[in-house]
Amino acid sequence: MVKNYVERKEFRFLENRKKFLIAALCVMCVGVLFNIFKGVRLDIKFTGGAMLKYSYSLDKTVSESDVSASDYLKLDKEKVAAIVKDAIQKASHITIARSATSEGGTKNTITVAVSGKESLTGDASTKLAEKLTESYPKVDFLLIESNSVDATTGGEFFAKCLVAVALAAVFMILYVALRFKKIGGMSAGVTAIIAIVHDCLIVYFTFVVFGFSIDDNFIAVLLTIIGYSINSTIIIYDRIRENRGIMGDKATYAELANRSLNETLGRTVNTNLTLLAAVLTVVIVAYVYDIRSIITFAVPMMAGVIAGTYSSMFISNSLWVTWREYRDAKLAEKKSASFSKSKKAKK
Amino acid sequence: MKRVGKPWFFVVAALIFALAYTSFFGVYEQNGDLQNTIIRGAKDIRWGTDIQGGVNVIFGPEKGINATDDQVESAKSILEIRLVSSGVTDYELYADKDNDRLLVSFPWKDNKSHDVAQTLKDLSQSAELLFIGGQPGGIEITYNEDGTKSVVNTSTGEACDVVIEGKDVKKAAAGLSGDNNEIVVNLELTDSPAEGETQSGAEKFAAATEKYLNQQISIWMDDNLLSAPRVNSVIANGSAQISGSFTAEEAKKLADNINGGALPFKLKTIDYSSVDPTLGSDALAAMLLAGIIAFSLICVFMIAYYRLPGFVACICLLGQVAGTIAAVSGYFAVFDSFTLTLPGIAGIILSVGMGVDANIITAERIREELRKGRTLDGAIKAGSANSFSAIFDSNITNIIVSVILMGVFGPPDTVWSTLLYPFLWMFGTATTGAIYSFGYTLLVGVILNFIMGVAASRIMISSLSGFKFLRNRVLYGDLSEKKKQELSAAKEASVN
Repeated sequence: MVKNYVERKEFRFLENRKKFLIAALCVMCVGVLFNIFKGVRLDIKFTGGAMLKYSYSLDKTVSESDVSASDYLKLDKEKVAAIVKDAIQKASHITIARSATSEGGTKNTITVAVSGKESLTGDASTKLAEKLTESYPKVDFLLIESNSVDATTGGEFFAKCLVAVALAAVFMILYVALRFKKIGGMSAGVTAIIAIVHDCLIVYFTFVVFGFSIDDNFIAVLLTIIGYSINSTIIIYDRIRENRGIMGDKATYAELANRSLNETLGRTVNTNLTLLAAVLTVVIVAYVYDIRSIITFAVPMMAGVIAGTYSSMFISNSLWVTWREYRDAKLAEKKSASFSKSKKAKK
Repeated sequence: MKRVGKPWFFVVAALIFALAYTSFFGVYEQNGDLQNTIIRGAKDIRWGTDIQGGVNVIFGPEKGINATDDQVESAKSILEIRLVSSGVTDYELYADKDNDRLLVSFPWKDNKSHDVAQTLKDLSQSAELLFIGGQPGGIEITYNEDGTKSVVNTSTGEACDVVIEGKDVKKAAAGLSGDNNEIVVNLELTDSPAEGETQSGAEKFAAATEKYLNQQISIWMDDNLLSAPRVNSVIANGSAQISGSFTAEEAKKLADNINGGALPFKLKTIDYSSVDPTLGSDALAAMLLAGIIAFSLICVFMIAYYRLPGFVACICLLGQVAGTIAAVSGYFAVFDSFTLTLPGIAGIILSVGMGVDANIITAERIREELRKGRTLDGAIKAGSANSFSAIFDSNITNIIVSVILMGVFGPPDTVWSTLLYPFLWMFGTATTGAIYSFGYTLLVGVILNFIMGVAASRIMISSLSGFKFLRNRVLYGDLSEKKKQELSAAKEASVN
């Protein structure tokens, strides 16, 4: 006989399933509160509008010995907003940032976001740059990024994105239905879908909490997480199916799920840890260099990966065990009811 | 599965290293001063506009105007001419005929900052198709205050004789001439005068062909010479043929160009985005740094935790990255290359993080089987057999997602958008090449994961296990003898 050297240290996850579910619910509630009080903004890519980003530095005429040189670079948001209003007759939202460059220096940037039904013409950006230079003669402005979207095409793009998410959802449900026929049936399939919904909500709440506007990055992250997070869940359910054969009918659902969870723990933790290390690296680098398009991509991705790990380990299983136990209890009740009925009938 | 022979590890590893070296550094042939690219390296990758700096624009007709497919096609050929004549060669241009849109994206030339407003204006100004008597070396069009224009021959400084313009042409089409089946461009001129004119196109052309009989009349699009046919006979009926030993393609192009000059709708900038080159190059350096750090972190972790299978995993991941880069650059010079954007690079990093899952699943199984007491060969065999369905699962959902991403965010006319056309036909195309590239690198990463993370890694592990000095079970994740004794002692103690 093969000798088993190690009695695996088993974590009793399923005993605490209520706590895990409540914790998840609490996070959801916090997310909903943020959503109510902070609100969420659709990006101009979806609503239409324009964004102009300038980098600015001291004009060459300013000598290095000029004591007030650093003061020139202090831009006033309200003043800039007034200049924008004057130049293009539109209200705007101004953001000022400072970031590292690859040469080791720093860079100042100012972002002007204009919402509106009509897209901004190229002329408007030229005009604005002129007005800015007029008001800040000691500062050089360079347009480094601009973006202008028509409200109609934006709305259409948004609709297209939503259809894409719906499409992904349909494919995943079909896949889960097909795959779970073998491993656990309806109860497993539905709880797996709940886990995906949880992960998607976490991605959404990350956008809300960090104040990122909902744009095409959101859709990309959402789809990626939908594709990714289902896998850990499937691997654990697959193990449950395998262990049912080994452990027999005597094992309770909680024991079964617990054993399977423990056996796949190494894979679940390590896979997600490596992925998390990769995404975290991207997040940190993107923050240091202020690469907006990557920040709003990698931060929600990281949240999605964490949520996916949590939901596949604690949410889908816990719900599944609760579901099966509830159903068995119901069945037993029915049985005993019909049993006592038949007894009565005999009398 | 029998154990794979010892040399196989070196064969597979050598292949992966060769792929990595060539896809990163490329292979070039020095032919005198000319450098021929045989295999494209990382420096030949076409970077997206978010890295290289550049413009993405969507042009379309004014609201309420519905353009025909032919009109959109001619607008496309005008843009093509303008891009090429302004020295932009690596542009991407798509016509979305369902929604009357033209998508253009191109990087800035010379890595310098450019004036976005002026560029958009230059691209979208209405096209001028001019037929000029004789063949000037070059022309310059200037517009007067009252809306008229003057055309000057740049080599002589004299005014040109403009015989007809775009508005005088009804239609141009490629066709065959009746006489000798030569490929020609058939030109049909208007039979009634254009607004504010006294003569129809046919009348003007009749006069011009009389004047320039046996001389050339040159055809110009803005300041680009399209063709300079010779007048062989006076054409009075308003339908002419331009012959000049064209290929079918050339004839169609010239016809498109001439139709373009008669473009009925004005190009309007619907959406645009631009990025300055300085912004993008910083971002590229940052993302490369992120990639190197992430790759190293994963390698250190894999070797420290899974030992020999971890070491093999690192070689496989290198192969996966190299393969993805080859798939982006096109690898062999004859293949098309893809555009790589910032999210595309993030996709490569992400697929490394995800791809290592295949190695982890296999290594975990081997470790588990060893600790159950199986023999080394038995454990490796079981690890391979049992883990395949799990690896297949995780890849299939990622493939579905990447295909959707590519179909939604990609340009029209790709396989992916055709696949999703039944679901997305009512929506226009958007310029989000950035996410398209992410979908592509993710898809390629996942597919390569089958080759590298599954096939290559199995061959290498199995082959390495044939070496005597590598048959120590601890290298594959089993506990050391000392640890086992401690554990069984502890177990006995707890039983007693």
